[in-house]
Amino acid sequence: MSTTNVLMLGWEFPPHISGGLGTACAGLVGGLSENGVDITFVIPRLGDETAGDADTATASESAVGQNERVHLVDCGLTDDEHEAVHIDSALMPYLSEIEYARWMERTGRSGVYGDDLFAEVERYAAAVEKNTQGTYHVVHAHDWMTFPAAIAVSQKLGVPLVLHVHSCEYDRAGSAANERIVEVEQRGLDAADRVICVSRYTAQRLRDRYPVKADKLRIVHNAVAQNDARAVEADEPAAEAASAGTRIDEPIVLYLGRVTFQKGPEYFLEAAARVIRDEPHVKFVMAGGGDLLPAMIERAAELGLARHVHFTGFLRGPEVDRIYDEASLYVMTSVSEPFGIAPLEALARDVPVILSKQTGVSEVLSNVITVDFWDTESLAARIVEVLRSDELRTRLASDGRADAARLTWQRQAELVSDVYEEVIA
Amino acid sequence: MTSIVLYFHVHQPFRLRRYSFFDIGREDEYFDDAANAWIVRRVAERCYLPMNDLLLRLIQRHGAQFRCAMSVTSTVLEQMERWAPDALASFKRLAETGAVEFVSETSHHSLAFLANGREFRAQVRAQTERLERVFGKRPRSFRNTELVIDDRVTRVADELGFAALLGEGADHLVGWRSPTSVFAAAGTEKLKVLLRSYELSDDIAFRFSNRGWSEWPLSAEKFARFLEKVPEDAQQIGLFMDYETAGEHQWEETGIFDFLEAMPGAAMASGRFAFHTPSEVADREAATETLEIPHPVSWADAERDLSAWLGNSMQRAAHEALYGLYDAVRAAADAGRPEFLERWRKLSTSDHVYYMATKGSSDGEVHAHFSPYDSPHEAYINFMNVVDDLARRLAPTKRARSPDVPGSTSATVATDTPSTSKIQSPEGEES
Repeated sequence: MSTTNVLMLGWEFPPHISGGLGTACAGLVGGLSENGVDITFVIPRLGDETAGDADTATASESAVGQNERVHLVDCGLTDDEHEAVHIDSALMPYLSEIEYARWMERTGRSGVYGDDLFAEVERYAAAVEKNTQGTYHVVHAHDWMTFPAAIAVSQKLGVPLVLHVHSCEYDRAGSAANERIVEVEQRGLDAADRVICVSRYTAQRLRDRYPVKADKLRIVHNAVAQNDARAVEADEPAAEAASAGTRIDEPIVLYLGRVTFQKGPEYFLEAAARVIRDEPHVKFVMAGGGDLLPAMIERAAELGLARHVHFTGFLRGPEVDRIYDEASLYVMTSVSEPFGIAPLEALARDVPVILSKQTGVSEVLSNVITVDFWDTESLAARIVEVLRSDELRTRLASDGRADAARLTWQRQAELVSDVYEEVIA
Repeated sequence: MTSIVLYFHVHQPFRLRRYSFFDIGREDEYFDDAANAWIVRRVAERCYLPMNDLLLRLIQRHGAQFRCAMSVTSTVLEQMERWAPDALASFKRLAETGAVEFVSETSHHSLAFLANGREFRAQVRAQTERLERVFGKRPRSFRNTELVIDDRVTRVADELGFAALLGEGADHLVGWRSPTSVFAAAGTEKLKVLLRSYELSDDIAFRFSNRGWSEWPLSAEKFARFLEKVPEDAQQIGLFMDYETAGEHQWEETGIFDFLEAMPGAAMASGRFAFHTPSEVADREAATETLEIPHPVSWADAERDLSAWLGNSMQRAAHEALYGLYDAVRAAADAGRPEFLERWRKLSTSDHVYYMATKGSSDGEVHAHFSPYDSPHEAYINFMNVVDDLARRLAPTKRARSPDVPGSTSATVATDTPSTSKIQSPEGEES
């Protein structure tokens, strides 16, 4: 056998992403194809555009296939070695049970999609199983909503199952973990031949929280697509980029990520409140959307940070570049971050970073400052120190970038290929 | 004889454009001219023009017996000058009849009285002068933004020489008394306070088209019967409402125009009632009760207090941030840059903080109905970005006084930046 054929159950490609999951999938698929792996990529997607949010402008659609619910499309990647299959489903990355229920209520799509999130996950599994044919060597799935589908299709095809854990329910929800999600995750971990974890932190967590055999676990850190930043920068009018550095004179401390429990946004605000007591001119920007955003906006107002913290909502490609251009420092306050790709993106753009210790990405970055997420006093002190020292800022940015540059998707994909070989052999 | 005071409030805010974090320091246009032009033209066609014609007909029909009052904010006057001059001309025709009293207020429909006495007086003077200039008569009556009154407002209104002040006849203010009395205000000399009879006013303003209301449909004759039930000794019945009630809040199809055209005749048929303007009532009637108003009372929401504008932390933070810039804005104006003051005043319009309200229930629905934003948080973010930009543009003139301190609501602004600061900032290069 010369080429490995992988059926991958993943998530949307950029720019239609709501967090790191789509970015990681895209990076990995690109890296694997450079390693000569053929991939058929299966994505849940709403079958009818009027339902809104989940369209895929990236994919130029040329529908074939007998079943109207299966769209074979050119997924817009660099070569023709793989294709994307869209399965009609209401699933989206990071969807919560409540969000799903609200969406159903708003759109009245019951009868088409599952009555609740779990029913939809099972419905998706059945649809994937039914609509997937072909010869594959391995099934590879990303995070819990795809696990039942992956189990079903790997059994149907009689091929090994590799699961990729980008985050587990205990990361996302802490002690408020949804038991039913944990159950689905456990089912996947039991059925999988190998489990790829995005960090040692995650592997440890799976061992602590779920019974999973250690010899199944493999660690493959994420990487950052090195040329992403430059590609979008070219779209920016030169004048705009030139003025970007001067329009706001104050140093900007950036939070960029979903505004959810997992990311610890309230610790960012508390540190901000502490910083401005000494450095009232520092600006804090919280960029991203999420279920805690309204609460954080109110919290910032309560803390007297109205003039010091700005909220941008969810940012898209060019806006992400602009905010990195303007930022003096990137801070990640995650409570539990299996990996956390954003700091790598920050470093790729010369922005120094401070990370919480509860992040997987800190395992691959030796030249960063880390603090415990709950220690906002220390975080505030580190922020002020970095902002006051040009030398420190420069060193953190350049050394950190060197760390980040060592991680490429091509290299990380090789590690994933090794895992495929283990299970196929 | 009981006076009926029919009073309409005419106002449109300068709505903000979507102003993102990335616009700060780059984009100096804050207001959404296209939306504001479109809305004022629509309101002119649906309400101002047909209502003004209707009032002109009533004045012709009933002669000296029909009177009413109006307040027209400077913001809507400016919008009509720019985008609906025909509507402005028709207001002027009403003024020429002498049957309509134009009531003064803050020029920009602001909450200035809460934060800054100097600015409050300045806006009232500006509005009084503008009304005199546009409509040819100096206002003798006053209403504060959203009908908010308290002991401070009554004193300033008295001090500025107004004969009458309009207020909300809220239960917790009126107590055992009747809102139909003419009130004096504690600590004032000549001022008379006329309160809104909210039941009767809201029968028209809110319930008119409500098919679930036991009195629906409301005819002029039925409303006249309601009026007859008001006790004989009533001095005045305040029917106060937004002008946009006709044609906007209550669509033309509901029959609101026909009702308003027939109502005065029906009300006067028994001979017990006469229509008067607020200052006419103040001149005719002696005050029979005295009000003390320690806490502000407004005509908004179930609470009838300030919670519609300053009820949550976002609203208070936005209000404080805006008024924190006041000294810098004034300094800029004194230094020959008055354009900042006008922009600041357009931001002081209370609608901007009203959009940030997070109330649930039916009041929340009313807030959402008027808001150009999808959520109160979006309204807050947008407003704060604009305030930040304004602060930056003011920086060269504010450096001397360095008022970049959150939470300062008035002239008491911190005078120095903390000396520990070593991070460069716009104010960093201190002399």
